[in-house]
Amino acid sequence: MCLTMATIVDIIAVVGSLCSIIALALTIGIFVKLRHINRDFLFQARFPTLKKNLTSHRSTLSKLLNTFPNSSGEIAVELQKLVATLKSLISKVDRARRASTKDLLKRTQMLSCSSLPASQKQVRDLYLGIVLVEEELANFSKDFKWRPSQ
Amino acid sequence: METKPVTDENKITKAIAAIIQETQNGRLVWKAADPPSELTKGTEDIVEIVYYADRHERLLRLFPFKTKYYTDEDVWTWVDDLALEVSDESRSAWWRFPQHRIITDLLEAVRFKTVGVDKFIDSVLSGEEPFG
Repeated sequence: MCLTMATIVDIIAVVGSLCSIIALALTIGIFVKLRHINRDFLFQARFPTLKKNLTSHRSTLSKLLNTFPNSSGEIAVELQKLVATLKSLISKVDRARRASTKDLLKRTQMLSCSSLPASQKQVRDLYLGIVLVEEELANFSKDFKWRPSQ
Repeated sequence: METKPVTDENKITKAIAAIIQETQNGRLVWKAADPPSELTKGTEDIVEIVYYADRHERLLRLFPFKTKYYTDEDVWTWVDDLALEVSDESRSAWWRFPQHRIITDLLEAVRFKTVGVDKFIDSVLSGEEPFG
């Protein structure tokens, strides 16, 4: 069998193209994996502090509800702090488990930006929202320990 | 937007949150009392005060207690814990709620109400005799 020079060059070109495609796929794979590792690392490093902050927001809101409506000003300040904590949390939680945190952030931001003081019912709904996010995070943290490395 | 109850755990959360709300709104009135013998005898736990509230046919009781946490056969440390219980209709048997982080918030609300902090602050600000 006799291969001409042009055929050999063509074969090399095809092999080269295939290698480029494989390299691109591998690069994308490594990029995705690195993002996972980065997020997992951030979650493990920051989770205890963020959990503590959430507990502190919940406890403060509950105390302020004891003196509602005299505590409206303090509640507004606490809501701003809660927004900051939730924003930080969202970037570190798995996309699939982000829904309740995202929903809580949206509701807190709406209340925090409103010119009207938050009603007692709105603050109570947020309080309950924090509790549910805390529970979800606690479960996520437990699952995390048993998750196979990606 | 309302948060939907999905699991039993969420139901418990909502129930305790509702008890906190009723307490803070003054619809559920708690009274402090000495612990009954069933909580102090035949147990190593230390209970110093029990809060009771009447809710329809049933009684609720909430009490902080210290319990021994054993790290070895004879090595232990005291640990603070909290219990929220509800009685049956005859008020003779009690069911304890599962441990939940917001029971701490309930204790805070109950103490605030039973001590009468808001009335005290009002009286201090108005210069009147407290609870007068």
